Amino acid sequence: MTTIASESTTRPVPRHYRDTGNRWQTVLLEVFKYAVLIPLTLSFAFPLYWMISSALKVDSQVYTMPPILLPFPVHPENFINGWQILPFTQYAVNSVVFYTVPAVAFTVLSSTIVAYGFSRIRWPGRDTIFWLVVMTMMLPWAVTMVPLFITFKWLGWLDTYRPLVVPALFSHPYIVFLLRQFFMTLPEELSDAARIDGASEFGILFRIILPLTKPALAVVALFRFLWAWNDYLGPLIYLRDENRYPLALGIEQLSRRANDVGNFSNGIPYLMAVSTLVALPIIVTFFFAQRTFIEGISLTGMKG
Amino acid sequence: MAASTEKVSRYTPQEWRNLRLGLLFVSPWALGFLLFTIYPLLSSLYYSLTRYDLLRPPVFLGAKNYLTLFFDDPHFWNVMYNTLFYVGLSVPFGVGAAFIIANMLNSRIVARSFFRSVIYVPSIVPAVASAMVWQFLMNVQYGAVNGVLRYFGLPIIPFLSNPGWAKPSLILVAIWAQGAAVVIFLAALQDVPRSLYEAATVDGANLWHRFRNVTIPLTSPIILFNLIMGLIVAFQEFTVPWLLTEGGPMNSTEFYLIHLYRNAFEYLRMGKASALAWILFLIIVVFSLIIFKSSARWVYYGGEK
Amino acid sequence: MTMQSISRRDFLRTSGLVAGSAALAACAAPGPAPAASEGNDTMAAEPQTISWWYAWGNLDPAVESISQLESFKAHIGENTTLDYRGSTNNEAVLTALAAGDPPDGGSNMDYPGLWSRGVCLPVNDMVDSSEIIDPNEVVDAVWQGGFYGADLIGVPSIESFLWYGLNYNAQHVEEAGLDPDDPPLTWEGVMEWHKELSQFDDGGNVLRIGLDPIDAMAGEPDFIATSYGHTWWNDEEQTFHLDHELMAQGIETQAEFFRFIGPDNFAGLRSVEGQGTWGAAFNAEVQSMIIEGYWHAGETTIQKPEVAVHNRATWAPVPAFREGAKIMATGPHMVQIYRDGKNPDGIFKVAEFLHTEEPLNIIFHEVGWIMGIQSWLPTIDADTFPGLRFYIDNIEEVTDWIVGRRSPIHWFVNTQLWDLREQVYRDLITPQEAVTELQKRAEDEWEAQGL
Repeated sequence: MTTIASESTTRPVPRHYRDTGNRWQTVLLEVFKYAVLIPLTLSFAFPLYWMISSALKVDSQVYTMPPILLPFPVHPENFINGWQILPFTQYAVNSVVFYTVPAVAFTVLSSTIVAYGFSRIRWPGRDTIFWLVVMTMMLPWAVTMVPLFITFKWLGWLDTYRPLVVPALFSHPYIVFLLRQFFMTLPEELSDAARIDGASEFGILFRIILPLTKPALAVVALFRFLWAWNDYLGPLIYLRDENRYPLALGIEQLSRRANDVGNFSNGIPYLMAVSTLVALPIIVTFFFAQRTFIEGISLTGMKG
Repeated sequence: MAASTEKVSRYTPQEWRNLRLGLLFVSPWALGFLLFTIYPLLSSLYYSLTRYDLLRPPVFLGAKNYLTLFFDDPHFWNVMYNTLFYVGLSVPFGVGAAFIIANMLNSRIVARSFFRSVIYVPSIVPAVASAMVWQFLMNVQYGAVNGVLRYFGLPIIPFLSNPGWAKPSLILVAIWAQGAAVVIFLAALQDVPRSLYEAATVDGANLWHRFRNVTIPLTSPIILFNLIMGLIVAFQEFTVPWLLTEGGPMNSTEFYLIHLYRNAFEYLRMGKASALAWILFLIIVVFSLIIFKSSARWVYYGGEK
Repeated sequence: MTMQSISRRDFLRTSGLVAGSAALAACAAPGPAPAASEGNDTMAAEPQTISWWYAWGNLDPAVESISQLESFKAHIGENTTLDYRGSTNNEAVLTALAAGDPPDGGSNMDYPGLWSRGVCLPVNDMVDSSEIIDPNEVVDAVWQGGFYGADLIGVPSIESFLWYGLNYNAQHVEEAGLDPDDPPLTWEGVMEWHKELSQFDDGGNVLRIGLDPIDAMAGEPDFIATSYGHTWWNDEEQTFHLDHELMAQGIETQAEFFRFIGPDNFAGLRSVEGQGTWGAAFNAEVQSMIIEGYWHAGETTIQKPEVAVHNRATWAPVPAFREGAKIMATGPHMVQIYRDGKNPDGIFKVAEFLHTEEPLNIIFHEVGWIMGIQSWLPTIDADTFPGLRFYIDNIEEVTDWIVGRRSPIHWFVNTQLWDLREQVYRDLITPQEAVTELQKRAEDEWEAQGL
C-alpha cells in the first residue's frame, strides 16, 4: 500500500493500486505530470535545437515565414565558412592554451593544497579562518573588479591573460570548499598511518589522499573548465587585441559583423554555426562525464 | 600579557608543528586573500572617494560620489529599480521553477536522466552562445516566435525592443538557464528518506500535505542555498543582458553591473564605479542577512546539528 | 540663460571652406598633385613598427593597399612596418592609454575628449616643419577644426568633407508614387515621404521605414540644432545652450517619425538591421532615406552597388519656418598622436603621407571618402558614385555652416540626447523636460570631468 506518485525513488516501484479513487487520482497525476514535463522539456531544448538547425540554413531559409523547423537542403558548409570569417582557430587556441588549461591546472593544484590545509591537518584557528573562505565565496566579484583592473594595469598586465590566470595560483574559495568536503570524508587513520611511517604532509596529500579523490578532482576541474571556457566579462575587461581574443569574444565580434547587413550573407547561420561549435565541447563533455557533472553539482548544495 | 603567554603555553610542540604546517598549506589562499580580496576592497573604498580616470592622478572628493549617486544621478535609481525588478522576479521564480521541476523529476518517471539532461544543459552552454540564439529567437522581425505570430496575422511581441517587455524577456532567459538548481534540488530530494513519506501516507497525509510537511522542510537548507547563490548571481548579471540589449531599450535593462561596467570601462570613471561597487556590496550583504535571519523560521536542519 | 548665437568665429572659419570650394569650382582642370617627398629622412636602422588604431570598419582594405605602396614604404622607412587596427573604438584606446601602452596614433576617436584628458601631443611643430603638409592646401574649416586654442590636436587627414544631406533610394520613391526629382526640403515634407515610404504587413509589423530620423549624422546634437538654426555649444565661451526651445522642437520633430513607425518596431529593426552601423539599413533596403554626408554615395556603391544605383541626395531638412536654409557641417577627422606612444615621428609620417595623391585616390576609390585638400579635390569625378554630385556641385549654395563635434564632451551629450529623446518619443517626458535635463547632465559632466 505504498503507491505515491511523488515518492522518492531511484528505481521503479511496482504499481499496485489500493482502490479506484486513488487509482484515478494516480492516473490523473501521471497524465498531468507528463503533460507538464514534456512541453517544458521541449521548450528547454528548443533554443539549442534552433541554434543547430539555423546553423544549417542559408539566408533564404532563415527569413522565411513561417519559420522552417527542419531545414532542407541542409548547409553543413556553414560550419566551415562561418568559422573562417574571423580567425576562430586562433581564438580557440587562445581559449584553450592561454586561458582554460592554465586556469584549470593552477586552480586545481593550489586549491588542493589549501583544502588539505583546511581539512587534513588540525591546527588551532583552522575552522575560524575557514569561515573567511566561506565568506569570500559570497563576496561579489563586482567589488574587486575596478581595483584589480587598476592593479593589473599598474603591473602592465593589461591585454594579457595574466589577470585571468595568475589569481588561480592562489586557489579558489569555492573549489577549496568542495575539495575540503571531499577530504573530510576520508578516515583520519589513513593519514595517521602514513605519518607514523614518516611521510611528509605533501607526501600524504599526493600519494594517499589525491588518488582517493580523483572523482572530486574531476568535478572541480570540470567546473573550472566551464568557468574559463564560458567567461565573457573577464576577457572583455582585460583583452583588447583581437588576436588574443578567446572564443567568447570572438562570437560577439562575429555577431557585430553578422548584424551589419551589408557585410556578408548568411550572417545568422554563420553566427549560429560558430555558437554551436563553441558550445559543443561543453555539451560533449557533459554527455561523456554526465555522472561527474551531476555528482559535482549535487555536492554543491550539500553544505546547505 | 599574561593571557598571551598562557595561550602560547597551551600548545604542545605537536600543535605548533601542525600550526606551521597548516599555515604553510593554506598560505596560497592567505596570500591571495590579501592580494585579491582585502587590498582591492580597501583600495576600492579609497577610489570611491575620488575622481579618477586612470589618465590623470586621483582627486579626492570625499563622499561626493555617493551623494551624487543617491541624490543627483539621472540613472542610479533607474538602475536600482531595474536590478531589483530582475532579482526580485528571476530569483524566486527561478528557484521556484527549479524546485517544482525537480519534484516532478523525482517522482517515478520514465527517462528521468534524459529530462534532467535536457533541462541541465542550457545552464552550462556558454552564455555568449545562448545569448546569440535568444537574440535571434526573440527578434521582432524574423525571430521564430514572432515568425509564427506573424504567419497567423497576429501582433508580434517586441521581446527585446519594448521597455516593458525587455526585463521579463531576460528573466525568461535566466530561468531557462536554471538547470544547475534543478540538479541540486533533485539530489537533495533523493536524500529525503522514503520512510518519512511512507509514514506520512499511513497517517493519511495527501500529496499536498506530504509536500508541505516532508519535502519542503527536509530540503529547506538547499532552498536557502539556492536563494542566496541565485541572489548573488542575479545582482551581478552581466553577459546576457549586455549582449541582448546592451541596457536598452530606453535603459530598461541597464542592470547594476552593466552600469558599473559602463562607468568603469567606457567612461573611465573609476571613482564613481568604485562607489557603485561598494553600494552593491552592501546591498548584497543586507539581502543575504535578511534571508539568513528569516531562514531561522523556515529552514529545518534535521540531524545535521 | 541661453541665447541663440551663431558665433562669428564659426562663420569666419567655415567661410574659408566656401572660398576654397569656389576656387575649386573655377579650377576645372586637375591641379598639380603634391609631390610626395620620398624617403629623404634619415633611415632607421632598427626595424620599427608604427601602430595606428581607428574606429572605422571599412577602411582596412585601403590602408592595406596604401601600406603596400613603394612610395609609402620609402616614406616611412624600409625597416618600418605599419601595424594598423580597424574597428577599434574609443573605449579600447582609453584603456590602452590608461594602461600606459597606447598605439602611436588613433583616428575616428573622441578627438577633443582625448585631448582634454591630456593624452595627445600637439602637432603644431611637426606640421610646421613638414615638407608635405601644407595647411593652406587643406580646406580652411577642416584645418581650423583641428585647433583647440593655439594647439593643433591632431593632423587633419583621411576623410574630411561635407557632413549633411538627405540621401534617398529613388526606386523606393518612385514605387511609392512620389517624384524623386522633387525631394522634400523641410521636415514636414520629409514626414510626408516617411509616411508614404514606410511599409507594414497585415499584422501592423514594419517591413520598411522611410527615414530613421536619428540614423547616422542625424542622431547628433549638432545636426538637430543646426537644422533648427540653433547652436548648442559655444566654442568661445565653452558653454552649453541645450535647454532651448529650438532643441525641444527638433527633438519633437524626430519623435514624430518614431511614433509613426512605433518605437518598439524601431528598436527591433535597429537591433537587427544594423542601424547602429551607419547605412546598413539603407543598404539592406529596409530604409529608404538616411541623413548623412557625401560618403554615403561611395560607401553604398562599394558595399551594395545594386542599391547604390538608385541613390540620390539633396539638402538635409529644416523646419518650415526656416525653409530655404541649406545646412551643412564639416570638420576634421585626424590622426591624433598619443603622448605615451613609442613612435610619434613614425605615425606623423603616416599622417603626412595621407596628404599625398596616391593614398587620397586609394581611399576615394576603395572606401568612397574624400579629404578636403584643395589641389586634389578638382581631380575627383563627381559621377564616380551615384549621389555624390549633389555635394560637389552645391557647396556654394550652403547658407548655414557649422564645424561639428567641437565640444570636448560632444559624445557624452550625444549619448544623453539619445537617452532622453527615447523618453520623449515614448511619451514619458516632454521635449522641454528633455532639453532641460540634457542641459543639466551636460553641465554636471563638465564639472565631474574636472574640465
